[in-house]
Amino acid sequence: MTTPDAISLEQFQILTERAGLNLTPDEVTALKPMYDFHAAQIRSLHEIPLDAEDLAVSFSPTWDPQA
Amino acid sequence: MTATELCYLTIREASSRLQSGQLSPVDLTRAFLDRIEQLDGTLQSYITVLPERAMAAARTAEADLLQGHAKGPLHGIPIALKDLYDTQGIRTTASSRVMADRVPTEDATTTARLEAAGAILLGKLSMHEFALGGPDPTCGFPLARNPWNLDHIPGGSSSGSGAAVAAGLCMGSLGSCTGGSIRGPAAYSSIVGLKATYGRVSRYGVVPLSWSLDHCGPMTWTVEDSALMLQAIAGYDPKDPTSSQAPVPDYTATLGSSIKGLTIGVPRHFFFADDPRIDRDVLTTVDQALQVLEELGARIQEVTIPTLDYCGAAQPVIMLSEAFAYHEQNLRTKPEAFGEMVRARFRTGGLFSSSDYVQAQRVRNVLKRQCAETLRQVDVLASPTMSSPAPAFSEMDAMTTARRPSFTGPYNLTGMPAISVPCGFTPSGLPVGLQIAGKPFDEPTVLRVAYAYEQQARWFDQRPPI
Repeated sequence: MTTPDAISLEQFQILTERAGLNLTPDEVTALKPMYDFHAAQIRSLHEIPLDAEDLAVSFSPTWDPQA
Repeated sequence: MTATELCYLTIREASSRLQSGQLSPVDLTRAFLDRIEQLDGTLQSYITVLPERAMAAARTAEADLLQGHAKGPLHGIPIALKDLYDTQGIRTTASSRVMADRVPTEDATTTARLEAAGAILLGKLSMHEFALGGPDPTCGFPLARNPWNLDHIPGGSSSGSGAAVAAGLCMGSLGSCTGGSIRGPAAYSSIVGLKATYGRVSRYGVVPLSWSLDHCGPMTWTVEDSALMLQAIAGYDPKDPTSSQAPVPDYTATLGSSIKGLTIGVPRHFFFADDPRIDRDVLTTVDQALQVLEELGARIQEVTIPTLDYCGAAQPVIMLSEAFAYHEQNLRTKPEAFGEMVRARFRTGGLFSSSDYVQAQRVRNVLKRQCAETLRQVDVLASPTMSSPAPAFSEMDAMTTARRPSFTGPYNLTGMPAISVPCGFTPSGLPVGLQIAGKPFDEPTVLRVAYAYEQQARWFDQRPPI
């Protein structure tokens, strides 16, 4: 079931092509509901005011595999 | 003892008998292999059984123990590994046709540490394909069944681990956890599952799902057994860039210490919310468990962690984005080798934007900070492990897991240690788990609280009716 903010099937197809998935039309149609489900939740993430909040995962230059 | 009684011994009980000479590793291993042969056609918890290798290891262990060369409490103990853990010379499939013929040339660090501790490998356990949701009949591998009710899943993705430990088909197992894949099957199968702190247990040689969310940990019948297995596998590994150099304490030292005076925080606004997706029987059962903890002297305090509400959005973005990166090549060149469920979910991971991923990681940081602030006021957090009891196979599709609120995912996002311990059954006879989570690297307190509850409630006296 699509929400009012869901992207169109044509827009979704462009997204899948950009990701290099090479899907058939049937596969595009079948995958869209899963994407729409997550996209609706992701919109809530972007609405949270995070100011200058850092990332949880930071690069550490100190790892030495030979240690 | 009967063969069944042997297979129902805890690691601690068996270890005591093995080291005193009352029991031989050969007899113990043979009992498990016979039981696997007898029951696993129905339970389907194993992908690969290793009878010759296991018996050879058992004979070596027997000789060592007779000569007084005991390696520790896991010496001679039959265990099994989720088929995600590399085992040198033994196929490791991740329950996927993509890796059906993959034979690692090197043990995972955890595999090697268990072998060094003298544990006997019975085989490799079934799981959800690539450790991500399921069960999917299109993956081409057996689907483990819940020993408490064969029509229901044992949970996942460490499904075989949950089923095998519950049914007495191994004494302990290692599972992996990216969003709940140790604690979920532990709760659904009425066993103990411990997700250690991120970086506590090496991930080297474990097929990744999501590098920043993956954790490794034991799945056992009792809390003490999980502590014993964790003792053998915890510790710095230079091969794992995220491995911690934090000192490894004695995880059994404080088991049995009173929990009087400890404060247990319960974020009821999230875990006990008025949400139709959360099963009321589960909540009632867990509330009864919290009462037991209070009777044992702990103080229960309601706490608020606002960002918990966003975990359901953040965790899948991080998990699926990282998973897509790992599987991208195969998704493009041989997508038909993946099962339908996992193929769809991995493909979705390739569709999120970079700003989606970054935002999710920033929300994750807020959650870490809020949990840390809360854990300055309380010692541990408690909740139901899962929002519902084990679903039936007939209820499962690619979106079933995603639609339910995740009670386990928040502690993958934060990296905090979290354990599931059995706390009862629903009126329909399905197991319920109590989740205890604690400060990073404070597994001792998490284990202590779980142990106190477990010893008082004694749900481990009940085995599944198989």
